[in-house]
Amino acid sequence: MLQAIIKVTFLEGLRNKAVYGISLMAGLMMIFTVVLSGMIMRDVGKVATDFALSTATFAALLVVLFVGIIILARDLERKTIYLALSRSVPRSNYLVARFLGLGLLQGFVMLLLLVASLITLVLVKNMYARYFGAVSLGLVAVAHLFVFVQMLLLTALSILFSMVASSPFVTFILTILTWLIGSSTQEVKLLIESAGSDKFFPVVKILVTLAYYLFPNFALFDLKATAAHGLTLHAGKAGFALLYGLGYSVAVLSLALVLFKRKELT
Amino acid sequence: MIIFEDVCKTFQLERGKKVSAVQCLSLVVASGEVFGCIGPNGAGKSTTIKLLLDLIRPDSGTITINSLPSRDNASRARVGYLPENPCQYDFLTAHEYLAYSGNLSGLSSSIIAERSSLLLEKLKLSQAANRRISGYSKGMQQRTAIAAALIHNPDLVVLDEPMSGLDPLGRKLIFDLIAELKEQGKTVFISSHVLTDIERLCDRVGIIVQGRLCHEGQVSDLTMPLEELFLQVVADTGLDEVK
Repeated sequence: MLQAIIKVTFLEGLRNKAVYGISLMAGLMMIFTVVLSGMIMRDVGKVATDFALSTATFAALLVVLFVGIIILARDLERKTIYLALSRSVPRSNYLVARFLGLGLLQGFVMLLLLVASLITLVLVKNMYARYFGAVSLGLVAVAHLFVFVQMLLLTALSILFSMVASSPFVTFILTILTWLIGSSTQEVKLLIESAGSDKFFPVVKILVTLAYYLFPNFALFDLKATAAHGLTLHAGKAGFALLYGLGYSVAVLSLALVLFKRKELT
Repeated sequence: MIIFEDVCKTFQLERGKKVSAVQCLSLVVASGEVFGCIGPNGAGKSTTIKLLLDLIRPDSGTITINSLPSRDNASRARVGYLPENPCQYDFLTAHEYLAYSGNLSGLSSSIIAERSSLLLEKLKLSQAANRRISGYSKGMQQRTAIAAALIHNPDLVVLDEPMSGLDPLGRKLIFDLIAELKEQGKTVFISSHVLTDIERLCDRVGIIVQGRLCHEGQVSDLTMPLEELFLQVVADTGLDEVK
């Protein structure tokens, strides 16, 4: 029965027009990357990699926000959830299967984005081989895997928010805020720590430290610079980031399960 | 067999207000019985059904399905449910939706294929079975939902307003289907506003008003038409709408 729910979730995403729109936008951005590469004089590879990875991250984020959240919200609002829960399907299985279905959809989209990114970068490399630099295509692929794990975590968070939020819009806002805060806390914390202690009010320091530990650290999954400069990716660091992402997702999903089991489906 | 024992459910409204949706409901529906649950809008019929299926939880009291507490997922293994105003995954075809419904109950592909053909044929949906549900009329969607509720040949069928949105032909189809379920010895719990159908199909009827079961009895024992009895019971409760 888990497979049935996973399959339906995947199909729902795949047959959602928003996915086509997001794919089209990503495709156009990749074409723009090729065009843009012809307008810059140096570090062509770095800029193209940066653009391709940013496009992939943005497209994947849109899938979470405009497909994942909508799928779950619609299920609760339109009561389509009743069919499964009026049978012997445990609520925990239902939610986990929904998450896995969304993960499968996200994985499929990431695979398409990876292919598009690699085609774009190979094209740029062939067109501007002399200025391409030390970009590692292997690391570009790994960077996509990291974006995928990052989006799994964000999906788990959006599921948690949908358990407490009064409307899909609130879930959307909470998810995007978490994304924005989680993507920037590491940088802000470093900035505050590197600056002199008299530059910031103590309350700002406390707030930033609190946000750093309270929100997931999405910066851990950002491999743009590593891939663009062809730097070495340390296995320990990479392994930690992946375990952090998966562990955090499991923890968030577990909390969502507790809330879902108590939720009244009126 | 379904047993409700002193079941109460209160909903919290805005600004701390509360509304009692179901009050001390005690009811037994025997196996093989067709039970009709009627009442004015907002009386607590759908809430009773949702409590039975563990979609919402009672504040107090217990509900059992075939001796298992309704909180136990296993109690619903042989239950088919048609919600009020059902919505399906409209991006699926009827075939895909029935396959999904069958898979939820762990049916094999061959049984799903066999049961789907049978139900789609009975409900006159065979021709449209490979079209997406989003293109169906309301009546067709209602019939698809009924087929999905029956795909696993459940022993207990819970129907919340099964005639809603159906044209006379659709109503006849569903009426015949419920009559067939009755002949097969299934337990059926129907909530409906179509009193003539309830009168013709059900063995027993219960009238719920403002969350209370105000009347319960065999249809064969009725001394007046059900509609008349319904109006009288509702009027006796002092509900303004009927006065």
